[in-house]
Amino acid sequence: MGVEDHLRRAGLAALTICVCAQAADPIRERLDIRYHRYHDANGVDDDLGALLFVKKLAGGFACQWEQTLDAVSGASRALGKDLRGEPRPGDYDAVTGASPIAETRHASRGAFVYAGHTVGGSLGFYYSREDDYVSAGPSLSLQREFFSGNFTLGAAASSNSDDFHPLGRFTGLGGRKRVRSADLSVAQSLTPLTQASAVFSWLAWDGYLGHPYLPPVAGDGTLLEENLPDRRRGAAAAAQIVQGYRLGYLLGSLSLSGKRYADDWGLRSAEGEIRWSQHLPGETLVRLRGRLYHQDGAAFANVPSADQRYRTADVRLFTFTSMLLGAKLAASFPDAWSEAWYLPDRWDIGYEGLIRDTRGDDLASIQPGAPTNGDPARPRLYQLYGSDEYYRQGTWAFGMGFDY
Amino acid sequence: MKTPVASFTVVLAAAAIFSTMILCCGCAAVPQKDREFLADPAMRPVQDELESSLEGHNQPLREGSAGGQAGDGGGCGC
Repeated sequence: MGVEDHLRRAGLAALTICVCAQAADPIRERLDIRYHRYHDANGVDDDLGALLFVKKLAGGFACQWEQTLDAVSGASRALGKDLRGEPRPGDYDAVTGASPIAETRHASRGAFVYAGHTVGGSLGFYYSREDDYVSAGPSLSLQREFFSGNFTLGAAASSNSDDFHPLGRFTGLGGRKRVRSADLSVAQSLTPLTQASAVFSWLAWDGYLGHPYLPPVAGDGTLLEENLPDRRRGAAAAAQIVQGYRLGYLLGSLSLSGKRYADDWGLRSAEGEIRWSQHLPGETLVRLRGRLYHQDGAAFANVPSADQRYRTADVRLFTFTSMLLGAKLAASFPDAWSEAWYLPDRWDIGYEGLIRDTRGDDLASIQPGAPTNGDPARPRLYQLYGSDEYYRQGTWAFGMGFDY
Repeated sequence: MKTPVASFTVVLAAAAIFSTMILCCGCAAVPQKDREFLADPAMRPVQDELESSLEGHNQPLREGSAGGQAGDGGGCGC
């Protein structure tokens, strides 16, 4: 019985519930709407629209609903053409899995949220569907405040059941997997303008963990079938400190955060982020953000060959470094304008650019027979990215919010 | 495959040290009347819940990063 059958039997009762509580926060009734447009150097576009609706119920309870629709278009047709010839309408790209037509994902997330005086929590359910992928699962979070609200201890857990059934020439591959996570979080107010927090995560994947749309390419240019372990365990630790300051009556802050991750596939990552936020006159908030991320690839993320036990071409498992810079402007319309013209109470606009640096992944000088996409020194071994080079991508983001 | 023990030990040790530091500060409470700034959007660890949710799912997929994205399920992203 598939994931969808379970959901139908349950009468989609799940559609009422979900995640994301920050218990210490008072519940605010609102409707938030966002649109993100992603683009990259391979001509891939991702249009992403989402809304979040929060409605208070009695006794400190609230329900919230998050709906997302995104459409990824035209990923790496050039790479597919290089390997397989011109793609046909409805066909699937041999390397990326992205078809010449846009693939859409619908995701729903519902939750009951409780925010009491010192205790909070949420119970939720997530469901998403693509042509070739279904994911569903519950989540739970609990928070408790101590020391007059200065210290918050939180725990969260989720379990997703995913069913990946590839299309096109990869029909019959894929399978189901279960993804579980558990988080323990602590947060502490240190001064009236300083707070620190930390999150420790445990992650477990079981089942089919591969991506058959991304076949490894052997030295002679032939496509191999991906093979990955069916079990993965990981752990992560993240910490953040936010220091505020005042310029006259205007509040600003500087946030520093870091994260380390390791798993039993040999993948390691480190991440650091700095965020500067500054209020300006007129209820305007400016945010600048910089982030540096590096990961060392999995133990088997190397030049594939048919005699390897595990082999992959999934870009997510290879070594790379990325640098992100972003800016965001958020503001409010005057109340009189909002009421007279039905304008949103809040709006924001932002852009984040990212450079992905795959230099040093030791893949460019090998594979003499591999497809090169026109450049003999740059065999394209995995997903959307060339090896041993820089790669650009960026995201525009627009948002608005209505309070009621 | 590499053994995960050493890396996990480092991660857990860092987690324990940071938690201890925070817990030791737990009794040095900031009075309720002085906590108004801590609730300001500029001071919040997560400034926009919906924005954070979208980034949490899509950024790792588009960036191709595998470093500890909680839940990692929820869609193929391809």
